[in-house]
Amino acid sequence: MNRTEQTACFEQWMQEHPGIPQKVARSFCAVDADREDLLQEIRVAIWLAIPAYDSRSKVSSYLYRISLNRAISWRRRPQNRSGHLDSLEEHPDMAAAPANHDPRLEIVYHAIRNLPAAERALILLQLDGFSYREIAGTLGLTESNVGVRLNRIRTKLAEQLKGKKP
Amino acid sequence: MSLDEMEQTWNEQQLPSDPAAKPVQKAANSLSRTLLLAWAMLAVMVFALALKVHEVWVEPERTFANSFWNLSIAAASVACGGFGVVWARRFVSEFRTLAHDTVRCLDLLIYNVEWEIRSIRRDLPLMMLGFLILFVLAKGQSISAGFESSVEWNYIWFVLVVFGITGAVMYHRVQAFLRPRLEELRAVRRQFDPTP
Repeated sequence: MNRTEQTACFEQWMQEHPGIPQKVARSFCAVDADREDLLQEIRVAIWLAIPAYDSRSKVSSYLYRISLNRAISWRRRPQNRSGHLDSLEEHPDMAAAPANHDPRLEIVYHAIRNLPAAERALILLQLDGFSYREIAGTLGLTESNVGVRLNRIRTKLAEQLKGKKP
Repeated sequence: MSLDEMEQTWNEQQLPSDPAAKPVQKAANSLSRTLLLAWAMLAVMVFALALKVHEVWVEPERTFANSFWNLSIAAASVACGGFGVVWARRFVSEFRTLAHDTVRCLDLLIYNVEWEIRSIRRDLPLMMLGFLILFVLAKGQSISAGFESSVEWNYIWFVLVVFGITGAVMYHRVQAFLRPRLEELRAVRRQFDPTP
């Protein structure tokens, strides 16, 4: 694959699935500046991974796999570890509300960000309508394991969201 | 909030879009039309030049010497059309090269809109004046050579009206389309400026 084909493929993927990198970045970073950094890294990772795509999986699950791997390794770096900037989430200068700010959505993302990284990956894929089989294939788990884990995650989320109102 | 509400909220979320996407996409869509228009204009002008050359070739009373200014108008039109095609092709090529660099892409769009406004305000009147002079010279040459009667001088008014309408259309284009577009592009570009 030459550079032009790679670029065309990248454009097409980003047009067809613009939300995947953004959803993953928002689920891993509370602060806008961090989110932009991660989003940039995810886009670069996707661009570099295009030649390795073998058409056996759906493009959306391939994009999720790259985005989640990049987000998890980004989170592991010492400067980003354990969300040391997340305490600034509520500060208006650090986390300016986007133009299409939805307080209900912020509650959802806040709850997702409180989950461990692997659980975030699972719930993101389920919320975006992936089947257990696809989730298992993307994350390298068994289908039954995905089901068990998702039940636990949903219980955790239900507890977190109880009584939360926008 | 229940899990069902969470899923509903998730599915209704609107993702933030790239602020530059709309103007850049608009420019990309208009590029192919601009290039096509430039090629069409060049084709018409080449055809007009070919007709003039054919006239000189087949009519024995016409010579290069007594049709010089007439041929000059057609040749100048072809030159203008050729310049338009070269400019449009260069712009398209630069734009496609910068497709992944939003900021430079916006800078290029702003530069080109500014250039177009400057051209319409400064170069177009000069070009029209040049064509008017050529037209007067060609008419004079045709009348003195006996191809046309002196009544044909009245066509000067027709040419002046056509040039006037062209100028008005171009002025309207600057005021109604190019200036608002320039402001829109500058506003988007400012969003990419590093905040102090």
